[in-house]
Amino acid sequence: MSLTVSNLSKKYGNKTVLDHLSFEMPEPGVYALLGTNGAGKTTTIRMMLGMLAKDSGEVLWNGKQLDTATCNVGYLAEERGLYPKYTLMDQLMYFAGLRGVSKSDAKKRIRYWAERLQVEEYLYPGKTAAPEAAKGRTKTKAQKPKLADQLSKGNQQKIQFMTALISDPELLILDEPLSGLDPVNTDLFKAVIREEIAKGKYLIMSSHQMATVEEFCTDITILHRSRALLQGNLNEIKKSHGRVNLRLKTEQDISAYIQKAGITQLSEKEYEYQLKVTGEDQANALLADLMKDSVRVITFDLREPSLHEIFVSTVGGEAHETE
Amino acid sequence: MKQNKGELQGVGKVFQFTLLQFVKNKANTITLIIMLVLTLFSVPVMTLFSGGGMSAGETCGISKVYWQDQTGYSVNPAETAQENDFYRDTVFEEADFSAEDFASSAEDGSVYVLFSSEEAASGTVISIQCLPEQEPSESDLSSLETLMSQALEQAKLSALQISEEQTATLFSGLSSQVQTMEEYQEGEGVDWGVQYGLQLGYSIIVMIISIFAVTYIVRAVVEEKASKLVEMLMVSVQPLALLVGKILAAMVYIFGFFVLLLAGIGISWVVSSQFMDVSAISETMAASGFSMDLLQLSPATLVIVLLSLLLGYLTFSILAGLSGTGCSTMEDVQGASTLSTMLIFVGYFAAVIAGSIGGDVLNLFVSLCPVISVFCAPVQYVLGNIGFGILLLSWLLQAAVIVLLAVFSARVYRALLMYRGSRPNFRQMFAMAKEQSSGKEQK
Repeated sequence: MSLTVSNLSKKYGNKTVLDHLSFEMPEPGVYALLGTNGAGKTTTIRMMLGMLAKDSGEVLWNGKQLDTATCNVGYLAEERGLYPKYTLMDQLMYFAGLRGVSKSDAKKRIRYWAERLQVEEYLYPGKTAAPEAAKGRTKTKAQKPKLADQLSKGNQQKIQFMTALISDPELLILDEPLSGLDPVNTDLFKAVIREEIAKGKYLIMSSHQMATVEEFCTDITILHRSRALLQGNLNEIKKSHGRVNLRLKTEQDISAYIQKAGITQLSEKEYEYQLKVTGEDQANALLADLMKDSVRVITFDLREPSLHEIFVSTVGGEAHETE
Repeated sequence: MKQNKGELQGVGKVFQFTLLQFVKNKANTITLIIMLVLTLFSVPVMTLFSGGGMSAGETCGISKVYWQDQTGYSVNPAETAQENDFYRDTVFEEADFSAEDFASSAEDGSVYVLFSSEEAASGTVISIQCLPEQEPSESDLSSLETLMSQALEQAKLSALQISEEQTATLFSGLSSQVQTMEEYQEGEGVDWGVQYGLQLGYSIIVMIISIFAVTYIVRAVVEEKASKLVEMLMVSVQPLALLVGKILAAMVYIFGFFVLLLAGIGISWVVSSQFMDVSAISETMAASGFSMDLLQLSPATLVIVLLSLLLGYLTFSILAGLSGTGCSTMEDVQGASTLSTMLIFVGYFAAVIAGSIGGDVLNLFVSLCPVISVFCAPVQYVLGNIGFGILLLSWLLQAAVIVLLAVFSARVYRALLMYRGSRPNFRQMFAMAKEQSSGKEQK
């Protein structure tokens, strides 16, 4: 299986909202669509899913036009919502039915995900655990099924995530999946995403949370003002930027050494320095100077730039050029 | 895995879910219960207002009626009483004794009726005697008096050798009408008041169904959009299927609602007739010139009415769906319903006004003009003002309007679902449809 997006373009009147975007996922993994607000990430996803008409380009799944007739897609939209006054079970069964999941399968999957995402108490009121686990126990109190508007935002988000996962999709598209979640639920979502990756699913993720993307994704596209500024494998992109981040911790002030070596100092706190070097040679030269003068070095950590830094430098640089 | 991606695939699932939610909705359930209670009480209340109320199973408390005829008209109360179920337990017997001997010769609980001629009273006299301390109730005596009067009248008419038909004419009352020569030559038609009443009644039913439909559909569409569910749904089902599923669900719910109300009236009629004289209702209706015969109630008429209601429903439903889709929040529901509701009122008032004026040309116009024809065509057909050909043409025109609206919906519904902002007017919607047909769309 493979996903190919080629030359995707979209205009609203004279305004271009997506300019000839192309990328490819030849094998399972996570592809990240990154960008500032209004860069065209959601538009790309909507066009991929056929919700918006394309001005040009095509989206292929296994060499055929992508639509849900040929590809089992799960989608968590950026704009989250549930029917506020309907029961959660009704809604999940409805979404499962629309995705062509049989009733018995849907019930099993809802049980599984309810347990996995820790929302059994809302889906199976009056039971302390999902029905299978609760067999043999007596109901202590008959409770009414929960309505969506009785849930916290985080729990609503879990139910929405369940609607995306209910069909056991082969292609999972998550638009800002972790936004608005507390740290506990963030970890829960991350664990589920890891499981899906392990199952060999194709994931497309749009996010502002660079650390999260960096944790999961193999390939990225950075969009800015409707154009792809940077694309490719994340490791290669990082390598291409070189090992330029140096974290150095010593037992004394080394500002004079840094200045002498012509290195940019980003920050300093209690003799822990964040430095920007031009490359390994400059970093090694500094270390050699310190060693020569018997300056005690506790930490010497030379690494590639983070995705956050790459993003900021890419988008910031572009913004600067445009200005 | 089977997916729903065809233009109308998934309609069934949307239909099932929407209908289930309509049924589960507490406000809908309360409305239904209130309406059902009202319909269950409708027949007894109407019977009382129509002057009925006598218990159907009740019989006369008088066990025996002795009668003697001294008029020479051969009065036979026993024959007249046979036609009245109220006297099924009462024995009528021609007395072989005089009124003076009644007290000594009669059975307990009996009365004595004497038909006599008195010149002083310038006619015939009916006198009813009761046994001492065994006087029947006022109502029994009053009913017996009426029955004896009927028996005497029949005897008098029989003596004149008047046929049953002539008798019916004599007792059918009097009405007068002023006609032009043209009207006279056209022959007898249905009374104006009845025509107007029928048009008004049908228009009210169409209006209620249409307003129900608009309310339910707009609410269902806006709720989905305001809840920001549309994107999640559109992965699985096409926008048009979302709309059609809702329209069908609302249709089944509303028509089911009305069938339940009709069933409620039926149950009320059957139960009431066990202990009330419900014929008073039909007598009151007949007195105002209305009869069930006028409705030509037959399977064909029912099919015509149902089909006409269905076409009207679809017209207003699609409009409601389109208006609702332009809304972004629940606050816009009121505004979204306005256009459809206005059109319903236009059709209703035009139908009522046309019903009061009448005339061949106007009848033809209101039967063919889309929107208005929804309210008028079947009534005009039942009243015989238009032929089946015109009715068929009316349906075709309505179907064409529905198809045009459906095509228009298919073009703009997707764009409208993704639309955020103030509610677009129809001009903007047309622009969207134009852009859609050229492969573009508005933001």
